[in-house]
Amino acid sequence: MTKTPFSYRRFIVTGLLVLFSLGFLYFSEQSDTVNPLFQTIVVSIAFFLVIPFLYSKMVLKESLKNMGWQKGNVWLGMFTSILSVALALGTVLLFTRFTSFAEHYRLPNIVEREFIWFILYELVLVSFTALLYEVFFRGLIELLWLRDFGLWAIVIQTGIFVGLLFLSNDVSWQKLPILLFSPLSGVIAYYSRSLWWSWGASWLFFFLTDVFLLVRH
Amino acid sequence: MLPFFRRKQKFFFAFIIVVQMFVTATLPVQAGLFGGPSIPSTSGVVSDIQKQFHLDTGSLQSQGENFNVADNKKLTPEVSLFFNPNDPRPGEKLSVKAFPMYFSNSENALYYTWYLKRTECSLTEAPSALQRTLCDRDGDGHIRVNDWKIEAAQILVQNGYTPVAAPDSDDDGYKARYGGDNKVNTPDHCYVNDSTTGRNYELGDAGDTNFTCPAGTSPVCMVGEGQINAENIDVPGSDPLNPTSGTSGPAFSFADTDVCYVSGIPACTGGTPLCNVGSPRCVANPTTATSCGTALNACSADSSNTVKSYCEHLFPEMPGFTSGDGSFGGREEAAWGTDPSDPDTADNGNKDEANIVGLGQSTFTWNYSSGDQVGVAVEGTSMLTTKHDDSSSMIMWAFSKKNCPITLAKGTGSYFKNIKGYQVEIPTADFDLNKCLERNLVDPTQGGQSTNLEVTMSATPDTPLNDETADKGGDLVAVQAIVPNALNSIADILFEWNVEISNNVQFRTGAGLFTADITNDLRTRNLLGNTKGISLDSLRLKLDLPNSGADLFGGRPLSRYLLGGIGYIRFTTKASENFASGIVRKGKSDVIVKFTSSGKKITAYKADPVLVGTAMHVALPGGGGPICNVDPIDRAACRVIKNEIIGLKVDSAGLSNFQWVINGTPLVCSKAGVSPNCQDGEQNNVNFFPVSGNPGDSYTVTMTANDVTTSETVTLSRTFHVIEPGLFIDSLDPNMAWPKFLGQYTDVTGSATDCIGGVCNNFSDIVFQAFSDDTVGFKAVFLPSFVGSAAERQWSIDGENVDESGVGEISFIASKPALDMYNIKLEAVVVQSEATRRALLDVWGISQLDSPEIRLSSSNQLELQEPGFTKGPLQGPRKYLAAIASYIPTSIMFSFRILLSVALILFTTGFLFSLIPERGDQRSLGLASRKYPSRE
Repeated sequence: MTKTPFSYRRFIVTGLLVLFSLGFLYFSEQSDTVNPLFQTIVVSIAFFLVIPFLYSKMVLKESLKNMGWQKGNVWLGMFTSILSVALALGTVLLFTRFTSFAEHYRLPNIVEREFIWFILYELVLVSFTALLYEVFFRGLIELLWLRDFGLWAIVIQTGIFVGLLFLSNDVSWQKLPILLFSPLSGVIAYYSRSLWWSWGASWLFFFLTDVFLLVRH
Repeated sequence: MLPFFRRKQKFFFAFIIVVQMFVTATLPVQAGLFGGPSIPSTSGVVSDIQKQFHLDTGSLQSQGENFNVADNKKLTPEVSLFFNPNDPRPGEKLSVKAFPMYFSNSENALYYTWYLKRTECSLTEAPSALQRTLCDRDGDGHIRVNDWKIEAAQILVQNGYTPVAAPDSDDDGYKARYGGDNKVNTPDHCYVNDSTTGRNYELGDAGDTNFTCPAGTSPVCMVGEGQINAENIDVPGSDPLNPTSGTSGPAFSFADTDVCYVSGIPACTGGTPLCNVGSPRCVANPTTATSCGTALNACSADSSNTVKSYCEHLFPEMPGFTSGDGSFGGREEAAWGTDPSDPDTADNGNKDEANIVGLGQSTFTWNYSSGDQVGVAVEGTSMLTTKHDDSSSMIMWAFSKKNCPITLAKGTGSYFKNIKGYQVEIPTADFDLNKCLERNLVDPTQGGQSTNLEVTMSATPDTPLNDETADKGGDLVAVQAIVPNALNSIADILFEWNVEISNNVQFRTGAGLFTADITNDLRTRNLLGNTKGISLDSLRLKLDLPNSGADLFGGRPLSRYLLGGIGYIRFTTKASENFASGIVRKGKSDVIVKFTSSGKKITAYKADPVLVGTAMHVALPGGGGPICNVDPIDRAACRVIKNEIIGLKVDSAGLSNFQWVINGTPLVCSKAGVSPNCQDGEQNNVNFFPVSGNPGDSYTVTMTANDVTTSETVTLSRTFHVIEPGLFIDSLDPNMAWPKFLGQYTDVTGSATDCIGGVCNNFSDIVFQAFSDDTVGFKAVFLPSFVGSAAERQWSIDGENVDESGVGEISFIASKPALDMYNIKLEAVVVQSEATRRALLDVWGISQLDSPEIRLSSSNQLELQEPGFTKGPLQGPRKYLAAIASYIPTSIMFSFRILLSVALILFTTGFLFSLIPERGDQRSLGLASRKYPSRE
């Protein structure tokens, strides 16, 4: 991957793309005639996955490696991933001990009851959701748009992520793991230059958190 | 009672006999005392006795006739079987319980010899190999009743035990006693009853008793009646049958009258006929004989010394063993398949051998197979005593069908036995009672099911009202049938209904009387549902029978079945239940419902309050029309709200003597206390009632009057339902503002109208659609509709109050752009006028605190659409595109929209990216890559 010079045009247009995408997500209303779950899946894939990839390839005409779709720095990736997961799990333990997080964080009933559904839930839904967030917030925003801002990029992408949740009134104990790991995932992506490590670490953390809380329940 | 009369009868005859003896004994003395040495006739003496004791000859004769045959009518042992279940299914456990009667033993002391005949085990001396395998239980190569007994006894004695070879270590022998387990030290005399003659025969091999009488005569004992010759009174007596003999004898001489009377039946002892009284003679007719007949000198008969009387149990027997002999060793245990180490294999409290002989086993349970037949022979001691000079009673057997004719006996006879000095004849029968067993087999499926089904019916309401008008507001008559004695559940019972109509309760036809079956006519008019079906135990008839010449019921108009507006409908149902055995139980019942049919109707009004003196009364509205007169629902059952005052009126033409009832309570209207429309002294055709009930309650007002022409009673009724008032917003013009189309559904009831091919459109009640810039209008719809006149209304559009353009209506221009919407809200306050509230208080005492205002509100949305887009001409390519678009699933359309959005965003950003000049310089931003980690 070659080092590219800072580009106002690229910075401004990418920023507009992020703005358009988040604006569309925020202002769009659910249709009464279509299954809400279907709508969520279609919109999420379109704006968190398709747009970043197509924008990178069609508008910027850059390699997807610029938004972290690569192996990156293995050692840094591995190191930061282990460190981040450990740190996040420790934080979850603290939250579990000193707050009512464990009581409010619940998996769907069928996932709690049926092992096969738990596996499917973790392998498919959780991993897919993590991928969406990684591609958009870490890939598009942090690495592609704000990469020249250095470590500030981690802070800003975290701020955008948290802000989006707050704006959509979607902040709850249920969102604690994803909020908690948002900056840590940014750190992994930043240092490893790879979404693969941040994605893997995110999924591992979510998985271990779910297992821990499931066992605790 | 019967034994008492029998005792009385015996006593009476004993008395007569004693009296007769004394009278006849004193006759010679009386003859000397009262002159005339003559022997008076005994009939004259008896006649005198009858007169003295007020004994009627006819009664005596009747008693005597009964006495003659009383011995043949004594109750002999019987047994009845009851099966549970009545309709056994193959493989199912079936229990049969025996109920013995007329035994002197207790039930537990009797011997029940059960026998079970499987369908393939008919009696045969040459069974097939299969039959031998299946049926030959004793292994004798024949199928006999003993095999049936063993079949049953093994089930009974094993009780599910699987035989295992083991040494006999238990003591389970049982010694059976004739006549029952409790018969100890009692002589055994076994009898069989001939159910035809009622005669009881002792089991024995005696031959016939023969007297050597000429053909056509019978042996009797006779005494002669002679005339005493007065001149020869001192002559020594002579043989009464030969008065002229002059031989020594009594101090009388007799004139030969050749008159004899029967004095008894001769016995036969040692080949000589013997009479206790009189001489053995042969006469043609012993009953009427007065002639002395011919002498009887010889006879042949058995005596008790030559006869072998016997008793034989009917127990099942294994070859080489005797059941009930007190010995039940290992080989016998093995033969029966009992547990040699358990004295009570069946665990029923009996020893194994006692179970084999059926001691106390009044119940027999087995796994029923199709074609099984079962029977029982119960051995015990009857309540009939024997003639033997000992303590014995007759030991007898009862059979399940009481079918054991004496004709099956090898032979009958009698023997003479000297008992108490008399020669007593005892009839005997040489009879193997096993011959009776086959005749007494019972098929379990034939027990109990033959009784009819009991069907009871009820109908509601009691006097329903038929609506002859097109309102179709007649009562719904519900008829329910109940079958209390059904063996199957109601879901397995077939019902077949029939409906008849008549103008007379007897359902007769004749001059002026009409009756017809109208089942099909009712079904044709959809007034009646299915009339035949399984589990169809109820029927509903909608009394909306039109009364016109064009509408015929049973070929006649309804008016033919009405007398004074009264008709009768008879509901008949036939119920039947089927059993696997093919048996069908049936039952039938009917119920008659009297109904009123009239074109007249109780008309309802919203009453007006009127001030009469100082009190507020009510009156029918001067100008207002009736309520509940438009909507079919209201015409059938008028919907009213609480605290409303309802006026009622009936067309009085042709009617008199009105009487009003509401919910079974008289409803009285007086001119002085309620309304100037009413009159004092008697009820007229107007009445009023306050709606004081709560939502959900209902009132049924019934008016009864007499037809002035026929004097028949005419009954009209109307129902009022108390509801919560409702408020809705509806479009003034559905062409300008129409309910939103939600989709389509398939009507599964088949009752929906306006549904093409059964697919119905579903429209929203609260969301309307209109075109932008059109003028739209909405109106308030109150439920009940007459509430609107008493309501204060306030409309608002998007939160701003607007004035009504008409009474209960608003109209405005939908000036918002397409895809925008209006929120339309209507609030209303329904409150009765103060005058009405005071009338409630003055007339019916309903407190004003109980009649507060009622607040209602309703809100709708009006969605605006683009006129051009929606109103595009339905022709050309757009028509097909619109049609295609309408068939594309909404999920595809949604995905397509998102795809377009993505494309738009990418296009916009790409466009901007191409417009903005590339002036990038990473140094100029000042942030750049000094914190940028090294890249690959």
